[in-house]
Amino acid sequence: MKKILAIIITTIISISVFGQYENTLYYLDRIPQANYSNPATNPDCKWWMGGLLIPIVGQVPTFPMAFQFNMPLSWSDIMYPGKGYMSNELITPWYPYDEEIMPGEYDKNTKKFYKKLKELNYFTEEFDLNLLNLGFRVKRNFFTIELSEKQRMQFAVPGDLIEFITRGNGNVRNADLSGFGASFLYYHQLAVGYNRRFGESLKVGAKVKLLAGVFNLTTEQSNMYVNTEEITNEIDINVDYKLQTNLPIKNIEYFNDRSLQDALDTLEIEEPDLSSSKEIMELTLFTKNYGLAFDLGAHYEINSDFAVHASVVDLGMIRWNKESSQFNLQGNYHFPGILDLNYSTLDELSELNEGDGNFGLDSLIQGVEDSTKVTATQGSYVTNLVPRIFVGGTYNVSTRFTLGLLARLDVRPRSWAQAYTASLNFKTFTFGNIGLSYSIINRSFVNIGLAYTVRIGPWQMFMATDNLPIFPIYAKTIGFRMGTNLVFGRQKKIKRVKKGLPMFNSL
Amino acid sequence: MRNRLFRPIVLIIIIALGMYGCIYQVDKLNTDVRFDMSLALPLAKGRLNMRSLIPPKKDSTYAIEHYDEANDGDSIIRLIYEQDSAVLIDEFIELPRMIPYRSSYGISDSIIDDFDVDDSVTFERLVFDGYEGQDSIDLLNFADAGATTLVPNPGTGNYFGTKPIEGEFTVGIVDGVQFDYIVLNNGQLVITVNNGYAVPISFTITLYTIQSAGGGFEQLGDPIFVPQVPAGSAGPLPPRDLQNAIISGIMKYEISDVILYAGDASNVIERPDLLKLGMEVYDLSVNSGQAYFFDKLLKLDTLQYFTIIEENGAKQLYEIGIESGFINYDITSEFDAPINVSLDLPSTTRGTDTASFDALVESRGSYTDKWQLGGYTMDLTQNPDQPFNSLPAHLNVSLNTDPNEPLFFNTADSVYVDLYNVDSLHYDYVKGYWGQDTIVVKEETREFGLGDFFPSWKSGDIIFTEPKVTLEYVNPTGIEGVLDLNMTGLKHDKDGVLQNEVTLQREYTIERMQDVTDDPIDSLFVIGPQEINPVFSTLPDELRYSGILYVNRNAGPETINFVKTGANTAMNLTAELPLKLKINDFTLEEEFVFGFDSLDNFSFGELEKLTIYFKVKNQFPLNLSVNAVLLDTTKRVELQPLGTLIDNTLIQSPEVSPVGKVERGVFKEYVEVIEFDVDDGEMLDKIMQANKVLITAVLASPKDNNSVTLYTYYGLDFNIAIDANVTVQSIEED
Repeated sequence: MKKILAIIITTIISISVFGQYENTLYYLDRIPQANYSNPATNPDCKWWMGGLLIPIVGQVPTFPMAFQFNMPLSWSDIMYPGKGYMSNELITPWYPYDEEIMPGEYDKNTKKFYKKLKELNYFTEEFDLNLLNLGFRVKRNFFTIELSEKQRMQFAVPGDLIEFITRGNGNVRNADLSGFGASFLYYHQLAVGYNRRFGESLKVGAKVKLLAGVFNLTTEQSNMYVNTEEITNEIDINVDYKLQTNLPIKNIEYFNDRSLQDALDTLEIEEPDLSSSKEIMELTLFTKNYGLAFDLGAHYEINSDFAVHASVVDLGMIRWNKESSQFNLQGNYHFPGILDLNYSTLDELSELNEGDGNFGLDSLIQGVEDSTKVTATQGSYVTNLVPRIFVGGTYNVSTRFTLGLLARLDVRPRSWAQAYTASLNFKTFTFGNIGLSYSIINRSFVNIGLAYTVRIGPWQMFMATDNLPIFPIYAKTIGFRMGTNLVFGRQKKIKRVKKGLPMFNSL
Repeated sequence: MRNRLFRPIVLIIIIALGMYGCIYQVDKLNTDVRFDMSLALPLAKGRLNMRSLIPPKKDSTYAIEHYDEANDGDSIIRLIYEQDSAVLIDEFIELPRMIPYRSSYGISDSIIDDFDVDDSVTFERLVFDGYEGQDSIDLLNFADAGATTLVPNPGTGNYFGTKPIEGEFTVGIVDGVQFDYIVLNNGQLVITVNNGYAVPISFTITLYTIQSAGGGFEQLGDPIFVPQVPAGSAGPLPPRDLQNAIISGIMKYEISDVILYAGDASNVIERPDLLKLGMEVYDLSVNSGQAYFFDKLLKLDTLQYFTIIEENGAKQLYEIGIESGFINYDITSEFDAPINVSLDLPSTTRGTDTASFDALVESRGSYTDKWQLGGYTMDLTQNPDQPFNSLPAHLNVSLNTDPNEPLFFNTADSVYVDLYNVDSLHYDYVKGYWGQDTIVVKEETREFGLGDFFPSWKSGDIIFTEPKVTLEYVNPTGIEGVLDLNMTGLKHDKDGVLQNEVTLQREYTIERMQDVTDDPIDSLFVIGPQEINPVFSTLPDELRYSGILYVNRNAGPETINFVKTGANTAMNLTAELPLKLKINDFTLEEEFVFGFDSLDNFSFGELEKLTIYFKVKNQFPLNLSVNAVLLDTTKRVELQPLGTLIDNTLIQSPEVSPVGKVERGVFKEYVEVIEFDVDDGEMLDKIMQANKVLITAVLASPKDNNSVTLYTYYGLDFNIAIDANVTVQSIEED
């Protein structure tokens, strides 16, 4: 078991060496992909191109892609070196310390662990595959065209649920399990961007994204409460879920007013007709699930040293039209006891006493299943993308070095994920750019990021991550973006900025 | 170039070190875990209120009703035990019936009474017919000279006849019958002679009769010598026995050997002088014959009485309103002629009609049929000698023959008439006087549902303060009496052995209807709490009642009793027991499923601490003392108790209003917390072992021995819950 566990954890952590990527990449304006986080950003070249569809460049040495995985806890939260006689081993918060040798250590560990849990703990995963990137400058205007495949997955676990399971309902009598759910999103994106410099200080950009949804399964609403009364221990379970999907489900009208168990027993997905080219096209490309999103961004140079930056990306939604259906699951169940004698007559009691004991905890589960009714409707629905807001500022230490600060906010349905990054960017002559960063991400304080680009002629390779595997066990994030571009018309020399004195010379 | 390669290499090395570090770290991971959990489980919940414990119910044995006595919306439970019964009058007053009437009618052997006929011979005919060829001068002179008289010559001697003289006796209609001949069983015949001549005479007489239909005359017996009969005298001859003789309607005779004796001159005989002959027949017994029947009645229209009785005959019947019924008749005739039979029942009427029936039976035939009596009223009081049970009747039987045609008859032939009513008379009503009699109300036994009030009752006294037994006796008859009713409550143990028996006896006077058309008399008798309480105080499981109805105990013969068909007496016994009672040490006991084995599919792990919560909301207006004992009912009875979980915990009553009522929503809450830890291992084992818990609740006696009223919303809410602190531990063994 140890080996299996070790392999699983090693595999996950080996991926996690990269960490997030956007924060460190944000200020590396020599990489065209920095434009993804702020449409006002454009590289210092006249035009560029990249993507999987570009021969050779798009495949060697790697596909142009991005991956990101966020966890609510780091590995160090669930495994760490023990103390005392366990100092040579890694333990979990539930390691059963011998109370005689180390009294109170078990309670201390578990309390510390539960304290780290948030009300809602997200596991998120994103994957982007860039098919085509084009960018070109026309005087002060810069145009971009991007074609990508995007996949998003999110899994939310309430902190109460973990505590409820591991500590029992006697310790968590009012468990709020709301938010427990998942969503999966896969769509095509065609983005057209434009930015322009206005005057010497302001540069504004915008991007319009045409979206085509392929697959979606979303927990639109998830409210679940498990309350255990004092003394009587009677349990009330309230469920109010709303699920949305574009899975082609057969006989959806059958689900109305059915119990959850009935609905699950009869759930059947209609298989697509893959022999039809039209069907294949509708499944993959022209899905009829169209959406629109916008990116907005701006740079404002306060003076020759300071600049502020702000952007909002993925501000949009997809309307799911084809095979779309929504399921409402609502139920209130009161579990009075394993043996419910309520309002029974003594005759019934006698039968119960003589019966085969067919009651018990099964009735709790059965009761929830029976009392939870499914209401199914067919029709379009909308899913919102997860907008990200970036706000930051830079200070040009020198011609080649820039210090940057960046705050990032991911607006999730039930919570906001925050990240703060301090970075130092170094422009290596005309062919490279390196960024080092320190981030506080998701209450994880040990995130050292790196982004770099290397250019050989027009061929430019890049990689960016917010979390190098220096302290992998403390990482809560896994993410990287990498790829290659062909860049043309780059500046031969770095334009030296004439610095004035004092530091805030333009104020 | 060097720089270009250096950076990726450094990056790869860093990644590799990270991976190695992670593998190294994970390899040292100790996967032993322990979860200290607190499982809060509701084990049992119950609301045992009166409404749910004793829900409304109605079956063949009893009914449980929730009724709102005060119309304030708060119901009280009462048990209603109803027993419908009926005294079956059909068993007391059987269907009336007629005593069969059988009679036979024929031509009597005395159909012809004694009769006598006569004839005479003039002296002139005597001389001319009987003395032809006689040489006597006197006779010749008389005959030839045309002398009107004859004076026999004295001394000339007697005159001896030379030829016989014939004559006839003709029998007329005797008793309406004129016969050609009759064959006698017995009879006597006497000839009488009256000598109207002036001289004595002697002669011999010979009788002739017809022997059979169409036959000629034959001599009837030997000739009869008539010795000298003096002139002017008469006298009978010795009688002749006619046994088995035949006599006919016309009898011939012959006079021979006539001697006229000589007389003196004073003896003058005139031509018209008569020798009178008489024939008297008497003591007749007829066997058969051929005759003309001018009077056709075989049975005269004489009044007679049929007898109508109720089955056992002991009751006097006065009047019957007949719903349906028949008089059946069987008639058989041996006569060679049709027979008419008619029946008139002068006191059997339908409106203005009087019952009258006719039947025609063919010659030597038989006939069976019935006469419908439905709708008639039969008055049975018209017999002066017996003014009850008697039905006046006129029965006529007659021959239906042509009086001009002779009928051969035999006195052994008869007409047989049978009258009877096989199916009895179904009556609308019967009036009469039944006399003083008894009707047994057969014992009724019913499972009594009183135990359902308190199926959990273990011991203690209970006295219903307002029990009521109502006996409703609906009497649709004209029979009055006294009902002696016994009601017994019996209590048995679980093996059916009688434990207690209490009997209540009461007498009720049952009034009667005065007239058939009156409404039935509905008598309502109520037995109050004082009297009935002994029967119900033991919570009987069986109720029996029986009795005797003394008919006409206080009524004499002047009373006219009556019954109507289909209107049997209805007896409804209703016992009402509202839950208003006095109790003393009233103990309820009930077993409940209790067991951690009921937490199916659940493993506790290592139990560190167990807290049992026993929460009770008492809404009864009485304090409760609760005891809970763990049981393992899989063992023998004596080994079943495992230990006491709750030891005589007092649960006080909620606030009681001045009228002794606990208002809705008012209750007294009590929580018993029982904690066990690992040091209580033995008790924990018993808790785990127990599969049931025996709850005993002793209701405290009310203050001042007051009664309490139990409303349907009263109840006990209870919860049994556990907090189980368990350790689920996974330690990997190498």
